Amino acid sequence: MLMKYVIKKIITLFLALFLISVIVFFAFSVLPADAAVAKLGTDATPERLEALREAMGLNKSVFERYGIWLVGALQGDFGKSLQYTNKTVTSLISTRLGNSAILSLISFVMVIVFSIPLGIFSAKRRSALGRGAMTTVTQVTMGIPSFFLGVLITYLFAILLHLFSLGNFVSPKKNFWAAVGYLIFPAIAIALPKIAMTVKFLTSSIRNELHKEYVRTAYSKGQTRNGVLYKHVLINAMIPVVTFLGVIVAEIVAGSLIVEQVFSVPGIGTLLITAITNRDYPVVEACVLLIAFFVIIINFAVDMIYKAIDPRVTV
Amino acid sequence: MSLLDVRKLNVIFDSSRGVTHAVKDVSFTMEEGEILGIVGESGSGKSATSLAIMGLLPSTASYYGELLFDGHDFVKMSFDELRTFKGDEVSMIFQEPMVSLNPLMRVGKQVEEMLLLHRTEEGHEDEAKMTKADRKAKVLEMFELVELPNPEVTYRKYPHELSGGQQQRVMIAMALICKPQLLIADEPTTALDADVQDQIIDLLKEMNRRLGTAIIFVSHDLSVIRKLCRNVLVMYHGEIVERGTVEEIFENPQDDYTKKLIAAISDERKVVEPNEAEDMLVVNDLSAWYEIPGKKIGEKPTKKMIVENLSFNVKEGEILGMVGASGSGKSTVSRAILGLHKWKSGDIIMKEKNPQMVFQDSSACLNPVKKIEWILEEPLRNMTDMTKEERKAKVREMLAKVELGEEYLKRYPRQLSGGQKQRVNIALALISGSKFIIADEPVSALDVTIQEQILHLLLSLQKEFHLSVLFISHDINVINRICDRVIYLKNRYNKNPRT
Repeated sequence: MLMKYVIKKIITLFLALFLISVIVFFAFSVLPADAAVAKLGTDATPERLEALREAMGLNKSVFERYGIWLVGALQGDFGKSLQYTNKTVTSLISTRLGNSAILSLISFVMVIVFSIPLGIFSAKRRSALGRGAMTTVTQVTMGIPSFFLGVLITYLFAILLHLFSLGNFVSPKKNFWAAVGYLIFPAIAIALPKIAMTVKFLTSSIRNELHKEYVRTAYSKGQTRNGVLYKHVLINAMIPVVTFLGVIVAEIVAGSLIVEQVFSVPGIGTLLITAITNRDYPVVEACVLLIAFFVIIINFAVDMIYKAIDPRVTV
Repeated sequence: MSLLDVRKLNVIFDSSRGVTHAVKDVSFTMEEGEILGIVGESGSGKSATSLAIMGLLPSTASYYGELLFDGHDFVKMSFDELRTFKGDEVSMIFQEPMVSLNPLMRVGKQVEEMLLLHRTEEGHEDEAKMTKADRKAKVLEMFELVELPNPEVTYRKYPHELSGGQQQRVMIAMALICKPQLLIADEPTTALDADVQDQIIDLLKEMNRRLGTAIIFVSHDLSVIRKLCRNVLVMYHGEIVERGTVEEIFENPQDDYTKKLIAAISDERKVVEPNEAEDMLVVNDLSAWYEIPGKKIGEKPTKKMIVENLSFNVKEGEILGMVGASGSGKSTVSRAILGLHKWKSGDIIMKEKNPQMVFQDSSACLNPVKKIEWILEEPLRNMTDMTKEERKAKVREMLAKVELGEEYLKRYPRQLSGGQKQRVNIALALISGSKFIIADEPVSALDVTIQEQILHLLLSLQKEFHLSVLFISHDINVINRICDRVIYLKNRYNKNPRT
């Protein structure tokens, strides 16, 4: 049963990646300017542009280019970057992937560590005042976009408190903890709105569970209020939250792309954004596929976690 | 001193919909080892009374009066003081065992939790501190006592892996493991099939005899109460309207409401007239099954047979009853007739091109965000060329036929009672002029007195429109009262027609 499911998932994974690669490739072919224009500028002579296109292989038809790219990609070769001469896409990504991964991981850990206790705390508020206060705090935090939070955090922690200096990022290969110390701040910017969302979601999930009949049974057994909450309600309330956290992971990855810019972290986000402005399609393809791959894998993990906590689920 | 002495208990619900005085000055006493029945319909205050004893009323409720258990007043106790009694001295089982058990916890652990709560602190009178092995042994002993199959295996099962009857047995094992003096059973058999109902009642009787546990048995069904209890309280609108022994109540009911309840369970039978009409529906050699996909790659799906070689007919103007326990395939047969079941073989010939259904859950069938007028108009909009005015007139006419006033047109389903919603469902089934209706447990979710009204309405509409009805029910009393002929579906397949 499980094997069948895993194989099904792997097939969908490849289908999805294939479709995404097609979409990204052809989206680039309809854009007005290409990599040659991006490199030489709009006032370059047509002769020079033509020569560069020929050298970059841009004169071939889009189908041909896609075919060449696909054959390479299937062998693990994503080609050469068009903006950084002589650099392979793989080398560009591998130097930056670690930074982005650490940033996303710290953000996700923050979401888990803070939102579960806060959600429980918020669900326990029974007075109208307590509930209102929690709702207001979560609403406000949820509403601020991450990049703007990034600006606020830079101002507060870098300029006022001097806890880090902007742009002074050290590669984790040189000094791991210094890198983590720097990445904590962009991670806060990414995580805060997600924490607020998760708290809101968990709170309503717990409140919803509290009305279920098994809760009444637990009270009829003489269980304490905390016993009912921690031994019975919490795990039941977590079931929808797991799905939600899967979505949050994807959001964190997407959010980190922009926040990396604000904090000048050399990561996938920075690479992707410059690649898009420079029409560097091999790099964009690879970055987008990487992100898609990651999101699909997370979905798969969510299904597995689901199965682990809920005995009723059969995959 | 009585085991339980309830004095002038009042329960008041204060919600956004207004204040309801659910229990008014209710007083009664109970002796050790007694089985007391409380009967009444929903809203009669019978459940509120039992929940009040357990301190389990929702936060919107307040209550006052005296609840003297063994001389201790539960009303005056704090949450934590009452907690030491709950589960240990007084315990409770509920209507739906499936949702009353934690779905994510193995049932053995849920029963063991009782012992963790009440038998692990030192200083308990009869039993010393229990070790883990002691607790497990005790749970298995209890499973044995309530006749659960394979206690060791059951211990590790999750609630959804057990049948309804087994789940209720787990609940009973859990409720009785600390040998409480009082067990409150709130409609514990209502959600179960008739034969399982009897088994659970026998089990409760047995437990009462062997452990000496007193039982308060709350039910809407006097026939169940009669099988188990010696003394009965009849509740209506929050008050006790009659009390006495079962014999007294049955032989000489004083209150009008009690008389109605007794009439509803009497063995009244419909007088059947011979019917020489043509067949509305002929079902020949019907088999229906489900395909369960293979577990391994490439494995063929397996067939799970639900009904095999079933043949029957429904004549024009006839009500055919179909009886069977849950899992016997009643609903699958009706779905097959309507063409909603994919896996079937055999012949189904029907005169009516547009058969309609009435279901058990009256609210689930009505779109909650639309008004009754819109809901009733929908089939006319889709299936006829009537103008808007004609449709509106037809809706009004149909609503009058099911004895609802025009004021209901502008209401939402949630503003209607269960009985009123079922009336709307009947109107919905009839509005497009269909002559054949499949009614799947249409009154099972309703109170006895409301049931009566709906059955009455169905009968009169059936006569008026000369309808053919396939009436599915697990309740033989209901079937006997309205059906012309009956077929029985045994578990899995087969049938024994009877007139």
